[in-house]
Amino acid sequence: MKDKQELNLSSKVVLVNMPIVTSQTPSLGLSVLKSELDARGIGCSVRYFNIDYAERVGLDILLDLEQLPTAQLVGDWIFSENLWGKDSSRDQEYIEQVLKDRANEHPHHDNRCVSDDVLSGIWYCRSVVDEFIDHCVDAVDWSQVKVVGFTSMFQQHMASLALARRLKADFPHLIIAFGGANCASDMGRVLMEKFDFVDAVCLGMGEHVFGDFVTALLSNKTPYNDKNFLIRGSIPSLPQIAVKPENMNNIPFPNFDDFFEQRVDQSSLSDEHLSMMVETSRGCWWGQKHHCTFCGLNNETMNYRFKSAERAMEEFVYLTKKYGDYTKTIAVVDNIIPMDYLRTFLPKLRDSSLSLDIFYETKANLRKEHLKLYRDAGLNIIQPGIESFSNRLLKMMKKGITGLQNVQFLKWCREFGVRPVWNYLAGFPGEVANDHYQQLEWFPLLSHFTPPDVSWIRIDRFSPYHSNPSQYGIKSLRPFSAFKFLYPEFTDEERARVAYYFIGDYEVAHDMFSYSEKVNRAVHQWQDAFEYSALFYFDDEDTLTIVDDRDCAVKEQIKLTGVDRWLYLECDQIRSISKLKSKVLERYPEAVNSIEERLQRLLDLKVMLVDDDKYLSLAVSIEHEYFPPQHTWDKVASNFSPA
Amino acid sequence: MSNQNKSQSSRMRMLATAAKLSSVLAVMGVSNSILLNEANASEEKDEIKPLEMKKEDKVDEAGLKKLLNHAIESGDMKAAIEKYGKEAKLNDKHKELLRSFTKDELKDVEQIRDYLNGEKEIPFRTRRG
Repeated sequence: MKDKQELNLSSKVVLVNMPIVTSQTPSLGLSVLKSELDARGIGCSVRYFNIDYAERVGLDILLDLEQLPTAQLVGDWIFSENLWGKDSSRDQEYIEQVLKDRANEHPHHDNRCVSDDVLSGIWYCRSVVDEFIDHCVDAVDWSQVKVVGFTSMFQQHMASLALARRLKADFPHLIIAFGGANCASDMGRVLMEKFDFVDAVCLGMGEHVFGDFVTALLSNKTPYNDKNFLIRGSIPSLPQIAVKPENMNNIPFPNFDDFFEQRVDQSSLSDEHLSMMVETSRGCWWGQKHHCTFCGLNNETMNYRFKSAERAMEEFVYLTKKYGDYTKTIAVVDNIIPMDYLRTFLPKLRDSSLSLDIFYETKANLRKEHLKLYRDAGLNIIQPGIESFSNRLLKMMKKGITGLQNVQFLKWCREFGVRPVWNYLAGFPGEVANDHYQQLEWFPLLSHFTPPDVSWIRIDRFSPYHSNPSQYGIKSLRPFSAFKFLYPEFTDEERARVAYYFIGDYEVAHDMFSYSEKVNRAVHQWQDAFEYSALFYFDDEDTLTIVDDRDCAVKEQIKLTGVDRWLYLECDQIRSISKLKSKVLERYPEAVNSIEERLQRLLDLKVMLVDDDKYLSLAVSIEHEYFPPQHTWDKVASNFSPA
Repeated sequence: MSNQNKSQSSRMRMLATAAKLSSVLAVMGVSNSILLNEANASEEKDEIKPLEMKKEDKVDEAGLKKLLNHAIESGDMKAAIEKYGKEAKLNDKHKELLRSFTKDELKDVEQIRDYLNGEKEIPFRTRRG
């Protein structure tokens, strides 16, 4: 009951963040809404019930749950009983079909079958749900509140619905509103149709429209019926088309006060590894031109827009000043970093004294100086859309990049100490075993670069695979089986409208099962080898010394001089054979006829890659941030004369 | 000297210091992981086995760790040996090897220590990961 006193008594609006979602970061959506309402003079509190839940069950089990395939939706299942009522046979079926993967929808996912330990953790998480919902009802004096806004992303839907239903039953005066990614487009419409305790649903970006809605309600006026915002009793009959592009500079700074107060000042949970969330752009500038076939991050929101560099900088400075004592890590939620920022925002960040650790998603076809800028600006962790080294698969995905460019990017990341988080994707409609076998041959040569996780593709709502399945030979598109257990009273058609994760039938290579095992094993080998692998060079202007400490090393040390040294340095960036020949003519005309032979020697030594007559050196320069693992130090001792 | 060459040269010097440190530590029967802080050391990142040696030549690792950290912080290896040499159970040969580290080399060792301990954890689950 202590929280009742903690809640701002003038709060007419309570925004709620329910489990299961990380308690390491604030909800960006709710924090922006809080600012929006504050600016309108409307008292608002954000209640992080996900923190209360984490305190009950512990962070460890929640981390275990994060490792399970997302489409198993175990976080939602944990709360589903509270919403729909007890049904032991349904539970058993969910465990058998989904968690033990009898439906075989995650055939290549490492963690698809939960261990007994994790399963008992899941049951424990479920056993506290009823008492936890009681706690949520009890923790706030809801009789003083007028509007409750739920954000729902990923696996927050069932818990949010469970509490919403209970609040409406106990406090019928409450206006219950929903928003967040789980409510986008048709998913939001079906939510409104099927759950009569929900009064309003925001189908897209909500900062201004929710503010208008609450303002109208509190002034006893009829809320404005925006096409982006469904209000019970006034739902237009035509399907909604959500979202008009907004001026992002007008979005208020997020207010994280409630998060840090509840997560750090009032919680017993460890306050390590917390981060703030920031948004600098919406949509995807690449997707506007070429929508990656598997990407379901954008619906009608693909249209790209971003904050000005000045506005973004103001926000970073403001947040660092206000919350920098809690954390100096900022996770930017953008789908992709604005390219303009390479000449505007990032130089400002670099020249500032903010000293932040920043995460951004990025495209991988960057130049070397861009990676240096990333490092200098504090972008220490990035998520590039690498996905593959196969040119054929990359083309099928519409990634607009080659495999060798991806390798080049990984090399420069290593060189500048920028950590890429990336997935190796497999399981595409139309792929064949050889698409992977060719890449697997490269893996041992790349073991000194940051390894991927392997991920088998899923059909997500809003992706081209979902919106136009026949174009990709996908038939019988249907929701993942988990949805059957989360929405037992829905028809198949309604489930297809509420679901985000789908499966379909499409032709796959007949030997997919055998190569999937090889892909998983090869990625694991890379992950293991990364800790101790090294391939780097130092250069004294006459001799370039390459130190090779990979499992595939042909020679531990290679010394290159003259044309060979020049060639190796030239291929730091991808070079075609014709370009190399024209350049060597200027410097070493006598060597022009021996270029192929020299390159072949480097290929034989496994310190260079070739693809489609283009060459790339693989050793990392020690000129910048790279420093070899300790395993390698004594192996270079002979190059120096220690005292 | 161009900026690139300066940077390359300072990195090479650091690598030389790392190589020297590695060989000196091997003589003392300890591995490079002595530079790891507690959090990282507990993850047992380093599986390198130091040289086989007689029991009496082996130093006390906890004492040596304190000695190295003191030398790094103060830039004064002699004072560090004075303060922690006994606790680290150093023999004369060990002391001589450690005394050969110059102030500049100790600065390099500090940077090397930071690199070893510096791997950033990802504090959140990425959306697509």
